[in-house]
Amino acid sequence: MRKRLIPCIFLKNGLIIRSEDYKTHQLIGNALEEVARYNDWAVDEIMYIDISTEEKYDLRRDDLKVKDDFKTKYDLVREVSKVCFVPLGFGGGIRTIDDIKNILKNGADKVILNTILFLDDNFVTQAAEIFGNQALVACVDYRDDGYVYHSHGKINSQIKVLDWCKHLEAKRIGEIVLNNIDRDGKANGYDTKTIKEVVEHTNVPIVALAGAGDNFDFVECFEEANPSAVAAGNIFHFKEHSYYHGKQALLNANVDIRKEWGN
Amino acid sequence: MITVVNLGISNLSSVLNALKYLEIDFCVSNQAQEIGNATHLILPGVGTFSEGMSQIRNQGLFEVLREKVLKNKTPILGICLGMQLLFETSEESEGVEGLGLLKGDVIKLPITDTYTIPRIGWAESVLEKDFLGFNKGDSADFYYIHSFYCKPKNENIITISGENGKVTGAVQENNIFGCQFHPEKSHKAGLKILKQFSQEQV
Repeated sequence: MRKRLIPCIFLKNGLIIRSEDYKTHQLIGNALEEVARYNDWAVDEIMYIDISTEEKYDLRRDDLKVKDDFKTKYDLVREVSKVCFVPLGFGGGIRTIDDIKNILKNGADKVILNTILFLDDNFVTQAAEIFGNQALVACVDYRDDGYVYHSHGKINSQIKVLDWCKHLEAKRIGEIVLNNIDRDGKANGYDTKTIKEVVEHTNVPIVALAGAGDNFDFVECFEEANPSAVAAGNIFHFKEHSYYHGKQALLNANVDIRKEWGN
Repeated sequence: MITVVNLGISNLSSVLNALKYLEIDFCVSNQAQEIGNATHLILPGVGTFSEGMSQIRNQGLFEVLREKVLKNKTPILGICLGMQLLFETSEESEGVEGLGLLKGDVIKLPITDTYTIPRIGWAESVLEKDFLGFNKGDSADFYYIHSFYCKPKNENIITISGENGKVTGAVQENNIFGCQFHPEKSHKAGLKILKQFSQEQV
């Protein structure tokens, strides 16, 4: 399988935000415009992570006349999937099997789980029975202290990263996103040490997130840690043609990535 | 009109979104009569082989699908599980008879170190034959999610293969088309396949 480069879009109340330290959130735009742009760029996959703590959606696009329809995350998934012809992952606030069903039904291919995994230890296994584990992604938020955190990075689970990843693998998770929240928005490179350790000791596809500041960080992450995919948020929002340049850098470094077909 | 067969077990929205985006007219149906009137059939599917076949049987579609495809030569495109259902049997569901529109079986993916099972992701796919807008010798990346793959009796019907020829990516025998990958999730390369299929002449 090709290595993937994944734009990750953080949402709050239906709007895209730039995140730093998991607490500073700068509003930067509209979720639908962004996904249409990414689709034009032929990205490998798109991940949406909703960090809203309340159920309130507002696209700030009265002209679209869809404002009133955007009451829940399901509406957002439905609108996004209309213009997204690559795999789409969606996470944030998923607590029940019905949540997963509704997100997949509205057009996502994968759900990204986090806090629920700590609340219900059999959730993954139960969901895998119904949806298959290819649809189930865990986002593992951890800090430089090596511990996994949940509930928006606020609660220390007292579990070490590798132990948690092995546990999730045993429970049949399909994919794991490793998110070092101390690097969130810092643009100082990926935590390749931890990523490498998890890649080497598990058989689940690993997605590296947090820390990308330039294209060299993508290359370095693949070369040093060999994850299945590298994801990033802010860099794709703020730099012109950033996805294209990221792919070029990976091609030049001979990373086995998908070459876009056509023009 | 293109009719998307609704087996009620899988999420159709991605396929329908792609058809809408391509401005292709379509309807969605699980009714034998509507399916009988279709100019083109798309059989999508995610789920198990036995679930898929029992939906086809329960909704009384087994005969109409066979008649449309074999007798009327209506073009059909099976996607993922939908492709597998076109064959005779599957190791996923022993003893369950498939649609049998194509000769051959669905078998477990071999275990290798080049992918994990389920085999998920973008894979380089080589065109063994011309296929829905692509030419022999082309290569394109398509998006796959599967644990089983189709092994046709007649290997000449394989149009796309992956993993150095070991895994069937797509097949075509006359009016019968099958894609193991998801064209609706394979961006431009996949949309091209859907577009071309919609223009196939009966």
